[in-house]
This record gives sequence, C-alpha cells and structure tokens, in this order.
Amino acid sequence: MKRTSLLSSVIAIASTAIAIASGVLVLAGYFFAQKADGQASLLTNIRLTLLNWAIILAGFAIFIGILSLFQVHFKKIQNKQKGSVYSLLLIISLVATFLFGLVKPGQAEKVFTTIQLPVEASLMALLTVTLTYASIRLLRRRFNLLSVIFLVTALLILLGTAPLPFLGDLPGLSDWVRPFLAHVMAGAGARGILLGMALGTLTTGLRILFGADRPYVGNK
Amino acid sequence: MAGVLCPMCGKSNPTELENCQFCDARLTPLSASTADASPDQGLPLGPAPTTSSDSSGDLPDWLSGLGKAASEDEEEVPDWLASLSGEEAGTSVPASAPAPEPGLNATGSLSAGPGGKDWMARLGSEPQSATPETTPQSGLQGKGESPDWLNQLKEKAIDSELAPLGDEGKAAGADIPDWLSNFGSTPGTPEAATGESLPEWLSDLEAKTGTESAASAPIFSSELPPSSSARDETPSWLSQFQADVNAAEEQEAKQEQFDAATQPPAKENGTGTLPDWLAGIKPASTPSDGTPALIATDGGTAPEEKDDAAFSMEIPDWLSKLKPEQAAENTPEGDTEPSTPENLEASELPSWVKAMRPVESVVDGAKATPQENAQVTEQSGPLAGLSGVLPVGPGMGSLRKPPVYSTILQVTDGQQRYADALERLISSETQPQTAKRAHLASNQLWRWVISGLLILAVVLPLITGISVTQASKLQPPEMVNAFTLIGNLPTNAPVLVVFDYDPALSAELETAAAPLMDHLMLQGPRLTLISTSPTGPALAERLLHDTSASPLVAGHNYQAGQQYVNLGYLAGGPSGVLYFAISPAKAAPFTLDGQQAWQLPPLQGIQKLSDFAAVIVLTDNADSGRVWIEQAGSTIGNTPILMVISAQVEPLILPYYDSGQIKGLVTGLAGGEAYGQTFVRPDAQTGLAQRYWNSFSVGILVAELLVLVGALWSAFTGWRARRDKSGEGV
Repeated sequence: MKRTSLLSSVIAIASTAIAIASGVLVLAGYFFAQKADGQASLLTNIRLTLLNWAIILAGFAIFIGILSLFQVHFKKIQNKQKGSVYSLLLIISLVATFLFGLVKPGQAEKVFTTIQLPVEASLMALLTVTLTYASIRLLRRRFNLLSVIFLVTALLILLGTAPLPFLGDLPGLSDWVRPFLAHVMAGAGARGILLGMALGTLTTGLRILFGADRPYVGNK
Repeated sequence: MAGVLCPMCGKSNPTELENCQFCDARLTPLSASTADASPDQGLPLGPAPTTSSDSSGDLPDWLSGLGKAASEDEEEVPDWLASLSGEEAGTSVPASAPAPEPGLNATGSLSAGPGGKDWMARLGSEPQSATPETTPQSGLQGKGESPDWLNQLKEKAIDSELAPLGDEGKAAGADIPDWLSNFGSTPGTPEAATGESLPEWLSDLEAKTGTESAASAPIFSSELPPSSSARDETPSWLSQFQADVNAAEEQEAKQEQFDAATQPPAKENGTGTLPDWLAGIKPASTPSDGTPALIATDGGTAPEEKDDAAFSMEIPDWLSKLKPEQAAENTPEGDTEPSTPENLEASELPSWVKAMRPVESVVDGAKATPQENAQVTEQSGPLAGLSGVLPVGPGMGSLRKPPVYSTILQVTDGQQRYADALERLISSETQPQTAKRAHLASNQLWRWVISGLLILAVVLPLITGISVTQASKLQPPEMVNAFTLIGNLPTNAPVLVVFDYDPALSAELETAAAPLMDHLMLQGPRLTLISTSPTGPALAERLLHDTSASPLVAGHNYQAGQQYVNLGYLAGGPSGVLYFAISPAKAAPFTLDGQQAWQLPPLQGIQKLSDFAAVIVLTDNADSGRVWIEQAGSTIGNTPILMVISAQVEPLILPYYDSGQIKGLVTGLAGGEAYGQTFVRPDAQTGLAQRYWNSFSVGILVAELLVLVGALWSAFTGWRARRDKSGEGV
C-alpha cells in the first residue's frame, strides 16, 4: 500500500515534469526556430518530434475509439438492452465497411458517397423543417421579449440573404440591415467569444506550464 | 424567694409590703378572672375581683348578703343597671364578643369562677382590699344596702359611661392592683389611649356603652343623684386609691417604653416583672381564642415554650401545682366554646401583662376566623398584628394543589371552521393524485404541411427551371478579394486546399466552393489536398471528380498524382496542423493511396507551408478554420489564406478577415452565387449556385412566411390558452 502510494507519487511527479518540459520546449521553439544559417534549431527539432508523437497518439486514439465503440455496442447486444438492434446494425455496418475496404480499397469511397453523405444531408434537411416548426411554436411556448427579438432577427437575416422572388433585393435590407446584423451585431458577439477563448487558452496553457493544472495525473 | 417583684417596675420588694417601695404600685394582686371570661380572650381580660356565691361563707356579711340579693331578687336592680346588664346580656356573645365587665355576669351579679376560689378566699382574709372592690358592684344590686362610696360610684356612672368603673377602681383605693389603677385612669384618657392601655374587655365595654349612651344616659340621669355630691363623699380608702391611680399613670408612662405590643424583648423583660402568682397562670391560658400575638395554627409549641422560658421564675406552691397540661386540658377547644370554670385561672393576667401583648392592643376585639387561626400573626414590624400576610416559613407559602385545567380546547365556531378547512386541505394533499400529462400536440399535420411547402418551394424551381428571381447584385468585399487573389495566381502554382467540412453540409460548401474551384482550376495550379476531418479526403475526391457535386469542376478532369495530390487525413487537430505548418513533408508523407506524396510532381519544390502560392480552407466549422489561421499563421509567411465557409460560421470567421489574417472569404450559397456572378466563364456556363439560386430564394421566402404567420398564430393561441388557464385558476 505504501509502495503503491510512493509509486503513484513518483509517477505524478514524473508526468508533471514531462508535461512542463514539453510545454516549455514547444513554446521555446516558437522563439528560437532557426539557427543563424537558416537551419532548424534544436528546439525546433525537439518540438517537431513532440508534435509528431502527439499526432501519432491522436491517430491511435481514433483507433482506440473505434474499438471502444465496438465493445460498447457488443455489450449492449449481449445484455439485450433497449436499442440493441441498432447496436447490431452499427456493428454489422462497421465490419462490412472495414472488410469492403480491405477487399476493394478503390471502391471504398462509394460506400461513403452512396450511404453516409446522403444520410447526413438528409438529416440536415430535416433540421430545416424542425427549425422552421420550432420557430413557429416558439411564441406559443415562450412568449417574451427575447423570443420576439430572436424571431425578428432570424426573419431579417433570411430576408437579407437572398432576393425575394419576383421582387429582388429589398432596398436597405440586403445591403444594410443584413450586413449590419451579421457583421456588426453578430461579429461583436463573436469577437467577444473569440477573445474569451484566447484568454482561456492562454490561462490554461500557463497553468499547465506552472503545474497548477495536471489533468494527465487523473484526479490529483 | 427573697422578695416580691413589683409588677410595674420589676424591682424586688420585701414580702410584707403591699405597695412597691420604689413605684408605690400594688404588689399583692386583687384580681381574679371572671367566670364568664370569653375563651376568645384566653387570658383574663380584667382582674376585677369578683365574688362567688360559692364563696359566700368566706365573705363578709355585707358581701355575702349582696350575693344572695343578687341571685334571689333581680327586680331590685336599678333601671340604669338593669339596662346596662340587660344590654350586656343581650349583646354578649361568649365566643366572639368582647367579654363583659369583669365581675359582672350576665345577670349583673358579681361572679367568680371556681378558679377564683383561692384568691377569693384570700381576698376574704383581706377585708381592706376586698370589701371596697366588691361593694360597689354589690351595691348595684342592692339598693338600700349599698354604702356611700358605692353610691358615689353610682353617681359617676351617670356622668360618664365608664365613670362608675373608674370610680369603682378609685373606690378600691390602694387595695386594687395596677391593672385596676389603669382601669381607674380610663375615664380621663382619650378613647385611643384607652384602647392601648385598657384591657380588651374594658374597651369593648366602652364601645358598647358608647353606642347605648343615648339610651342609657337618660335613665342614669333620672335615677342617680348628681355626681358632685358623690365625689364629696369619697372615703379615705378611695382617696388612697386615687393616689395609686396617679402612681399607676406614672408607671404607665414607663410601660410605654417597653413597647410591649411590638417588641418581643420587651415582653421578656415584662415577664420578668411578673408577680409570682401570675407565673403559673400564663401557660394555662395559652389556648386563646382572641387575637394572640402568635397563633400556632398547627398546635405549634413555640409560643408555649417561649412562655415557659418567660415564666420560669419562682412561683408559689399553690401555683406550681397547676401544671400547664392541666390548664391545657381545662382550656376549651374551639372558638365558640365558652370557657369553663376550670380554666378560670388560666385566664388570669393583669391588664398590664395583657397590654404587653402586642396584638391585643392593636387588633382590639378582633375575632380570628378559623382560617386566620391557621395563619400566623406577625409579632413585629409594620405588619404587626396582621395575620396571614406572610407565609409560615420560607418556601412554605400557600401550598395548594395545582389547578386542574381542562384539556378541552375552547374554540369558537369561526375557529372551528378554519380548522376544518385546513384539515380538508391537508387531507387532499396527502391523497395521491393522477398526474395530468401535459399533452403536447405534436401536430403531425402541421409538420407535414411545413415539409411539403418547403420541398415544393425548393424542388419546383429546379424542376421547372423557371427563373423567379434575379441574380444578386451584391458583391461582398471579402468575396471580391478572394476572386482577385485566385485570378492573380500564376499558372502551375502550388495551392493547398483544405477540406474540413462534414458530409451533412457538403451541399452548401460544394455549391459555394464550386465557382472558386472552377476559377482556380482554370488557372492550372498544382493542387495539394489535405483534411483534418476523416471524411474530408473523400469529399475532396468527390468535388474534383463527381459531376453531381460540380460538373464544372469535374469537367477539369484533374488527375491524382499529376495535377493534384491528396494527402488524406491529418490527425492531431491543432498539433497536426502545427506540425504540418512547420514540416509538411513529415506531417503528411503519403498520399491517399499510399504513395510518397512529396516525391510526386504536384509537390515538387514544396518544403514548407509558405512555399504554397495560396492556402484555401473549405470549412463549415469555425474551430477548424480558427485552427488553421492560428497554427499556420506563424509559418505561412506571405501566402494568402482564403476561406470558403458555411453561412453559419460567418460571424466567427469574419473577424479574422477584418484583422487581415485571411485575405478572402466566400460565404455560403449567396457568396458562391456572387462569386459566380463575378466570375464569368468563357463558355458562359453557369454553376450550381445559379441553378440553386431560384430554389434558394423561393425556399427562404416560404420559410419566412411560415415562421411569420405561424409565430403570430402561436402567439395568439398561446395568449388564449394562458387566458383560459388563468380563468380556470380564478
């Protein structure tokens, strides 16, 4: 028990040191990217190595994700849980696509273009109907100022996006109202979101570099 | 016994003296308790010596004859005396009323209890003191036989109500004790002072006679001679008695210093001056029905013990034989029982001793009720004489049974109604109720109607080919910049095209990107395709070769490995993009079909990202577009970044265009249509954007109408539902 805790502490310390060192090296590679003769510096090479490892690990994570997906749905079928039929269909499709890719690698993209792409496009089309119906029901379920503002804004954006049939562009709507709403109003909000994300990313990076946040050691 | 203690000054005197050698007070008592002494008084109210019929043999002749006359012939009593005696007989209450005049019984005759036999006998042996004392009273009964001094006393009774008594005391002369001298001083003292100094029985007598003075005075005045003549005939012994009275008055002033009524130590001192003959009487008279100084409600022995200590002096043999127990046995029990002759001795106390009893003087004639007997009368302090004011002892106050309260709640009708209503509410809350399932009308019909209208709005223009709208005249500046950059690309220039969109939005992205790609491919560049989405490589191949996606782009017939290289999927997200930005060859060394990509002609001369002539990012996700801008921006150099984005990410990508990090931007179908309107092919063919534009315009119009009308209708129905619901609630 004591040895286990000691080992855990050693692992935690080692992982923290590795994480901080990796961050510092990658960050330093931004400032010392090249030598005087224009060749890549040692820090750049180290950074590239670390990034390559990260790409490999991320690719392997996809493979692990596929295996986890297979395992979860296989257990559902074993336990005969609700919706196990769909799990069975998912596993069959997964195995068939994999085998089809192995047998006929040149024809594998047909599975994508004939099955996956139409399905996802159909879902997006259904989303159009759903959003329209939700907009209609909005004032019935929640009749307040924000709901009205939301609907009016959506209508103005739609009116300014395309000219009306047989009428063309509405004066002032497509060239002023819609750009104002999309570029000024929505852009202001988007900039705020982006600034917040940048500050959050910077803070998170600094905390990891300082060892304040150690997500790689689990709950410690 | 060395001598006789003076009852007044307390000093010792030789036994042979009759008067105190210091204060000249009478040393030998002449008093005896009355036979009809009230038990309320307990102690003898007045020491008036009386004679008894039983002791007639010992009495002198004149006195014995007086006794016979008094018993045999009552008609011989004068009217004034008869009225006086009759009044007393009629009003006297043995239990509660103050005792009548000592020496006078109910019939007006002299009386003496059995207990008075001894002193009566001794009184008989002392004719000097007994004769003048008893003569006046006997003279009241025997008219013709009364002596002169008695006649004078009778005249005094006419002058004032108590004058006869005072004169009677005066007539007693030196033979009467000091209590009788106090009695003799009462006529001249005020009533208040009389109440303090006189015994109780005398005070009561004054009160009674005072109330009856109006009736009795005329009788006295008509039958009795003037008092002036009587005073002139005062005998010598009466003069001596007057002198004793004067001396007693002086002694009375001294007695006030004792303040016997309120101070117990004074009582002890006073008791020390008691004569011997009184020493044994006090314990016998302890049970009293009057208003004693301390009432032992529960038979407490504290007063008795105190008296024992006070009277623990040398007593004569004849008194020592009288034990307190015997006296207690003879003492009548109860408040209303008259005293028996056996306890006559127990009530013998001179007036000055009686006066020392504090409560007797304060609460004169007060009758204690049985409840008061059970309470304690205060002896000292401002509460002296008040009984039942303070508890018997600390913590022993009124011990009473705790009150019993009714357990039945007294409520009014209104309170009962409210309680019933509350009970109904609570009982209804505890009962399970069937939850009403909120019926949300799915309104499948409306959904089908909406779907049908939208499908018709999109499909009909496509099928019929009817142009219902005009081409957009708007040319966004970002689109114009993109068009300019594409137009400025040199021939066979390496261009990196990033396909980072999902199949769901492929229709929008392909339609928006087709004019730009058509324009680009007309320039003859070398294309390098890469994607950070797993489906991106397939979508890239589809856009380049599938005529359904874009016949104009597919019409260029670009060959993999010759005009373009598909590097496939770039894993790692931002890290992968960064790695590709730093070292593209190491990040994506192979083509989609497994060839060495960087050895192929399209990638010749490309070492780093900045070696590309342009980077075009097709994305429907703001994050992926932001990653490319942020990660590749530091290494891309002067290579422009162009983007073809979905309309939904325009607000998030547009700030990068405003900041100059991206040089051109084509947004959605409207942007593609605008780009197509800008770029006119040499053969004047139109792309998908122009074909979809009518459907797009009609579809948006239908959607707007549905949303507008439906929203108004929903607002109205919602308002009506809320109104109905509020009406039901009321």
